Amino acid sequence: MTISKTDGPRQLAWLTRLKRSVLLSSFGASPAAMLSAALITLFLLNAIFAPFLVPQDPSDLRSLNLTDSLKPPAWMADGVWGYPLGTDGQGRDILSAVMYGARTSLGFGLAALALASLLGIPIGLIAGYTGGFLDSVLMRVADTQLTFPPILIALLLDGIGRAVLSRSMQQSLQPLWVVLAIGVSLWPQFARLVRASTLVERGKDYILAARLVGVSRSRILALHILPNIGSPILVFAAINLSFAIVAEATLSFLGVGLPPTEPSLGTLIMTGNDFLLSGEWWMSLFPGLALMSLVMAINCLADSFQDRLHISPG
Amino acid sequence: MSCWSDMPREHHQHEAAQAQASGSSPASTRLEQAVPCVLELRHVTHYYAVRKSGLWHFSSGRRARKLRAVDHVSFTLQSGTTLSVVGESGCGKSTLARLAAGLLSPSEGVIRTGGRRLSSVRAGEINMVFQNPYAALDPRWRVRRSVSEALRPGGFLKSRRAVHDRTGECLSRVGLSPADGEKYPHQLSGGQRQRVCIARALASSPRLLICDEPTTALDVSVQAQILNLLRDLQRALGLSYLFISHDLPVVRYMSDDLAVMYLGRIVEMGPAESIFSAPRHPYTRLLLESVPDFTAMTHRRIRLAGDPPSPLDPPPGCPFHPRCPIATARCRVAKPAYTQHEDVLVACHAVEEGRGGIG
Amino acid sequence: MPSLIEVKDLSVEIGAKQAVLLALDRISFAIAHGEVLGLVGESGAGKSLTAAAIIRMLEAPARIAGGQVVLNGVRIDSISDNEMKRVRGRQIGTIFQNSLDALDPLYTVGQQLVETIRCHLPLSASQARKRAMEWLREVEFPEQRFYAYPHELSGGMRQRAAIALALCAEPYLLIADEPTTALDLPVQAQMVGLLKRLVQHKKMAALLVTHNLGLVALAADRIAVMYAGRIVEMGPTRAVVQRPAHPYTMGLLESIPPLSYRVRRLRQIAGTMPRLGAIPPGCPFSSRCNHVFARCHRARPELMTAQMTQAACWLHAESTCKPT
Repeated sequence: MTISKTDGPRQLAWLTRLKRSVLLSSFGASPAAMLSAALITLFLLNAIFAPFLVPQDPSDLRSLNLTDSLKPPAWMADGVWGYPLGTDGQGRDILSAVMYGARTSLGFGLAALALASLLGIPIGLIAGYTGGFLDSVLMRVADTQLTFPPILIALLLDGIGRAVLSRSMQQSLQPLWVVLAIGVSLWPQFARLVRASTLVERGKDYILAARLVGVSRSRILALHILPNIGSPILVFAAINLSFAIVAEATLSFLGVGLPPTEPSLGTLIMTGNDFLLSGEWWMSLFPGLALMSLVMAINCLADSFQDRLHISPG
Repeated sequence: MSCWSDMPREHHQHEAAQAQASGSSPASTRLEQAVPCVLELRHVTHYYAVRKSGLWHFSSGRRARKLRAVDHVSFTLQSGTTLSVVGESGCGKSTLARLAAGLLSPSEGVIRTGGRRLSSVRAGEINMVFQNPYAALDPRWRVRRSVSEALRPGGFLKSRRAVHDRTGECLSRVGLSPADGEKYPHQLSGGQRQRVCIARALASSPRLLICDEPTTALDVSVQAQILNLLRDLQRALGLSYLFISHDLPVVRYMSDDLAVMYLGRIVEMGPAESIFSAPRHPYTRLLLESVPDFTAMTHRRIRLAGDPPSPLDPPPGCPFHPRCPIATARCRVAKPAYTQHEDVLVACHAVEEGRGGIG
Repeated sequence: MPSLIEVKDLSVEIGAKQAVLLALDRISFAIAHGEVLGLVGESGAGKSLTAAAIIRMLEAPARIAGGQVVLNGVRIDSISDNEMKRVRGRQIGTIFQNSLDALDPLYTVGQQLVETIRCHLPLSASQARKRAMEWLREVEFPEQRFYAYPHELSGGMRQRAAIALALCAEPYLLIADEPTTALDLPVQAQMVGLLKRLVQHKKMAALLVTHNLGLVALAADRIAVMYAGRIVEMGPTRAVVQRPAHPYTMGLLESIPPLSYRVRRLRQIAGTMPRLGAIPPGCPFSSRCNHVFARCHRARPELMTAQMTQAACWLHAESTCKPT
């Protein structure tokens, strides 16, 4: 019998798997992927440590100095190095606002994504595995929703929220509602992808072998099918993370997203938008650049995963 | 062997005792009604609904066409023997395997095992070895886990220790070491994977193994190893095999009994040696003739021309008549019934009329 | 008769600088006009790699490490890629394992044949159409299906169309790599019979790569048996099949159950073919051979005359002290 070198002690197995993992090796694949990975790491670190890193806490009104309002970036004529990227109308430091905003955007994107996968993955698994009538109904619902652009669904849900809930409740629930709106608008894509992968996997002989010895349906779904369709789901989730972030930014820009008390990058762009015409471009530009680099980095990394795993676009 | 007797096999032992008492070999007990056989099919028919694909079809099956994949198939499989089903691709033999395994339920007819309905048997009592060992193992599971999967849900082994021991025993039965159990499928060769699949099938203590083209995906030298392993296991454990294959030389090596399928129907059935030494049905004859056999180097013209017709649109009368060199007007209109010739059942008008020669 | 293609000491390496594995080790053979050479072996023996190396279609980590390929007196292993592209289209026809995909589902069989013929031969549309019809007749494809789309055809018919497509530019050499594996055995037998007839008739040379000894016995004039990247036995089909000289060939033949009688027990070769990195020094088969002796571990046997074939086995060396 040939013994391969990877047969180490069991405790180390996860380490060897990590080392040989396709996803990790894709980092080294191209400079673009490497740069993206670095950028995303930066954003993640920022998301965790922003409160300790920011020069000025934007929510702390005492730290605001109105005399410092509308300062341009530091390298401009009127700029001061205390506010490297300038300030807004209330004297808030733009760098700090962008750091907090990026944190909020990423957090809301992830939350919406989690909701979408929480809805979409089980629905897709069940539809794909059971087939028949249930499958038809679930997929027709998904198809129907897919005929509307997701952003429209999000807007619609937001409108429903405003109409049904009282104003104060609506305002306190607004952050949750944004997550709900984006999450719900995304689930059909997840469900479709998971269903398609499940259909392929379901017919494989190892599933039949498990059925033959009486393994229950839920065990088959959780222990056989879900792990084996994990890679395409992961790639798809990465692509949709950027969509979720952009969707949140769009909603905020349109004024139906996060309240200005909890500014995301979209909110920052929106507030800066009013000043664009009067020449204070830095208020919109820097949040915009942050949003762009975040989304591009995610997309680029997702693409390289996809190439590595040979998955056709969902 | 003690480990093998901890599963419910009284039935089997009883049967063996009876056979011994009457002083007859298992092969000759086939006609005794008292002995329930391992597998019995009575007029089993299976339709697939072939739907016109459309956007809004719910699965009610309106306008569904019926594809008759298996058509009134009856046979019995005696304990400890091998019955092979041969035929070209699309003849329904794989559907038959799935029906016998209980993965599909027949549209019509009855399948019994040991006198009981298939639905009432313990899970794993009938198990299966699949064609492609690359698809038959979960790529993310260590093979030990795959083999022991059958042992947990049934719960007839309580302790983890017992499950571990039994898994190791199954692996060594098929010629693998317990250390191989810690590997992932991609670390094993095709032959080793098929051994793992056999070990997994053994783990559930089956009475009947359904082997669906178990060596088709393997190299010839590995094929010989697997075939010998299957025969050794049969002898040691008293297993019965339903052996599905298109490879006639392999079938001759493995089978006690043989059923030749064409377009969902059995056209000839009987003891394998009787059929191989004197095939009667024209299809069986042409099939045997068309096997490239290097032991007989004479150049032969392959006379089994063309492909079988689509089972969606089977020809009337005898399904083989469009390709049959001796078909007559009667074959084009009337379905042939089975007639007994010595120990072989044949469904052919020509054989029945005594003009079976095809030159 | 002069050979049409001659392969001399063709070697292929796989891998990067740190770990280079020799996947093909000095393969040599020649095929004459009208002759079919069957290249048989188990998976991983290097038979498909040989075919790919000849037409220079090796996948990235594999590359030709030495040797020459002479087609019609021209060394095609050293010409430029562009010239090679022309040679592949015009002088070498290929049928691959997934040959059923060789047909474009969007065009009829006739259209594809006409297009291929006109691409390689200076013919007018009507002449090309006539030629396409002739080829369909050659491969016993019903002419009335000239305008059929591939999906309307059965597997056997598509295979016939794929053969016509590979041969219609009238190449000198046909390389068929497991051309029939996806088909039923009777159809496979018909197809290789058809290939043999066409090759003899058109005076082409053909390399038939397959794992099925029965098929190769049906179609090939000579057989080369590969094991672990080397040719271990070569000779006329009848001799290789009936009087094999190499223990591997013997084992391979004995491990196939015969159709005409029932054997009590199949002989089996123990173990599996060694992986590329683990080929034993000396004779590559020494780790599984029943007749192994000291010399087998020390030195690698080259093809030498043995009975009616050529075998790479020390048992057949003239001046060896054979084991008793």
